[in-house]
Amino acid sequence: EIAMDGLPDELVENILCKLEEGQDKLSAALTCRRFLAAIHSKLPRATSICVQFAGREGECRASVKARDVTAVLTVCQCESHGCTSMLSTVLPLMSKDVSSLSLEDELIGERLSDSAAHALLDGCSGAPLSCLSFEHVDFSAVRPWTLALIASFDRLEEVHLLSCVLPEGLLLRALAASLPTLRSLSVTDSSHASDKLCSTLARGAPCLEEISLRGCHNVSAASLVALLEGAQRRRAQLLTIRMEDTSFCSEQLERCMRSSLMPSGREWAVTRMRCELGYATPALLLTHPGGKAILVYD
Amino acid sequence: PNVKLVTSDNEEFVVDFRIAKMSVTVSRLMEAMNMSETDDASLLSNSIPLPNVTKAVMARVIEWCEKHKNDEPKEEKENDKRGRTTHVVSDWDKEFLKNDEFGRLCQLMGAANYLEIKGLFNDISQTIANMIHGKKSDEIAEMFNIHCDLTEAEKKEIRKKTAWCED
Repeated sequence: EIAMDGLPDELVENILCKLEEGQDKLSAALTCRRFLAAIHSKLPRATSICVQFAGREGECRASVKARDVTAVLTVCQCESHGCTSMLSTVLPLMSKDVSSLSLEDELIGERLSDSAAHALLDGCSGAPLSCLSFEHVDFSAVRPWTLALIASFDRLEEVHLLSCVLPEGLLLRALAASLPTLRSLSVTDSSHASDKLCSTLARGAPCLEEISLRGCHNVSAASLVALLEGAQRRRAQLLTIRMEDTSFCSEQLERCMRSSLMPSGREWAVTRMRCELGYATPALLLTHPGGKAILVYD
Repeated sequence: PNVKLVTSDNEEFVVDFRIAKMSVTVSRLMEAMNMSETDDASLLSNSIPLPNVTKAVMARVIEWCEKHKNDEPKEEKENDKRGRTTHVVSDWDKEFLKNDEFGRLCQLMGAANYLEIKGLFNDISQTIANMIHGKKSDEIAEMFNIHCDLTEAEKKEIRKKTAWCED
């Protein structure tokens, strides 16, 4: 009677490689040595780390949880709990294969301490990160040379700063190393972001496909002027940019495009649209006969 | 035109040329023996020996091939982004394989592998993978009648390295 024992190794491997979920792969690997050998290289490793700062003094709990391929570290910033030193011990061990790092600060009104930022960024400095994301993080207590550690990641493709406090100059310096690979950037609800951000991106980020500047009041139509002028440097045909709740004004943009200061402005065709993004959002499609297009949500 | 296939237990199956061609192995053997669709004499005078397949298994293989003979040759979507090789088993195929006990499935898989019938092979492989889905390691061992030869220390080490899957 042929059963599992009678199946050649390559058939066993073929079967086990069809398992999709991490839990199934682990259960199969724990069944016997033969299964382990077949599926060993397919066992999931953490590919993303999410650090959450949570819990006020006296009610904080540190924990490490797993969500699919994400390791979620929940820590506090209390001096007495030594979570910072925990991060600097644990992260270098965990981050070897990690491609995505995110930091969420659930404590409204508290600033990220310089030592915690250092532990986090330095702990991941060896990781092949392609995605970096911060949410509700106030960097104003973090020193510039600590933030400079972000520049050690030189192949970031996605960077998200959602409702964070971070001066634009420091952000640009931190991103400089990754501009050649940057595909998607979000900087939302920031009073620090200005038109300088887009003019830097227009000159230096050839892979750019998505920008979100929602809620940045100091961003105006000048950002679009820079991106239009830099369009031929970008590889992707379409760039999508979200400008809701900014000082962007489409009439002002069209005035700039007709002005003699922007000779290439007249080459672009402007189409007004409404796009469905959960609700109808006004949008502006700018197209160039050279094949490039920019879609602006305002 | 028909082709004669002879199993390990000396049973002769006469199948349509198109059915026979669904097996890459049979197809190659026919080529090697100069058997062609237009040359009836070559088909009549030869039979293809299949020493690795029994009568009972061959009947099942032919049943599957009859159902799938008109299928479009489809590209298996191998290696999606994460390098998975998942295969979708059609409803008819699920029904077809439903009543086979595990030993029979393995025999059928061995035959599909030997005969190189990719669609059937992937169906069975995916069906067995689906049987594993959602089970704990001791349940898998029991289902397949496997004796676990890993030590507790080794299991702990594997768990530690793959901690992300378990709560």
